[in-house]
Amino acid sequence: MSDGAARTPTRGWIGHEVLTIAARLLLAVTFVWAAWHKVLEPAEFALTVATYQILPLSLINLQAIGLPWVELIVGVMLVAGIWTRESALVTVGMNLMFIIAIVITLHRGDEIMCGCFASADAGHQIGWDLVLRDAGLLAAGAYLAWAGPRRFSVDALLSRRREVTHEES
Amino acid sequence: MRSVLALLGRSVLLTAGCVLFAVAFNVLRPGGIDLVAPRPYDIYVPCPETETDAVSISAAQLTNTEEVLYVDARPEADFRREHVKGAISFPYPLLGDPPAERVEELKRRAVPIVTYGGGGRDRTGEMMAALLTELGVSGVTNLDGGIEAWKAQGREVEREAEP
Repeated sequence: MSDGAARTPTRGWIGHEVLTIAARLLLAVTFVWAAWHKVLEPAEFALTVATYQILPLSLINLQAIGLPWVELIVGVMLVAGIWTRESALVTVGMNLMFIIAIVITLHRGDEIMCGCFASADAGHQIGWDLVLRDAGLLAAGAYLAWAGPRRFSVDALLSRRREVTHEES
Repeated sequence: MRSVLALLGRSVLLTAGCVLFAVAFNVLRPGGIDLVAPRPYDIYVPCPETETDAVSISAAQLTNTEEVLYVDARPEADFRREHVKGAISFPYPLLGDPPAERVEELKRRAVPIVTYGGGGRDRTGEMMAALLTELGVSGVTNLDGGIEAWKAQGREVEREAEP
């Protein structure tokens, strides 16, 4: 599948096996959970995006349509361990984007609801705790992108299969 | 370095693929939105500030629940998921004024009103109590701690699916 899958390390510190699975699950659950309501209610999410007052009007709806699906698909891919490194890197990009948006808003002193979980979180106001949360998720994604797929992933399975085929030939 | 760039390239490809799928899905689905917003969004920043302080009451202090109208100030989806038994849904208007006819309806009801939100950082119940009081609805109290405090007291909740 990917270079990352082909280079899946099978030796090394056993902790990586546990940590990569934990990171995959953490990111997957967070992103799928966050995406669900936005996928169902794009108009409501578009309003949330507009409320941040960062993107030009021409990009607000595209962001509201695209972002939830990126979150959802990448979340599912992380659970299955498909293109694990690539998916992890996409979550790094998204978290970086969220952090920048929140910091800009905090810097401007706006009090707006956090659209991360759309209406499920309505009434919650954004703050530095959200920056910390997203920084934690960013770190988990960066670690996963570096460590790559380990056990219980489609990537690792395909990698092993390739190795067996290679040895047989 | 080359493998890092290749990884980056595949990540961009993955993102682009997801966005393309999203756009196609949006075109085909009922309730899809325009790719470009036809007019600026009517946003409201900051959230409406109320001048009146909300009066709060704890779940333990609520005794005669029969004569109280509970107003759920959370979003309607949360209300559908779970709400105080007998409560009505009246989401706190984050982006504008509340519907005047609903406010008038509350004024006409001659029962004490208890608003509530989700508890914790969700202050919608408190904000709703202050807003309604400011709009002239009398006898409005906020349930301190929201629905979580209500449940912690072992009080009854109901879900929309239930008969």
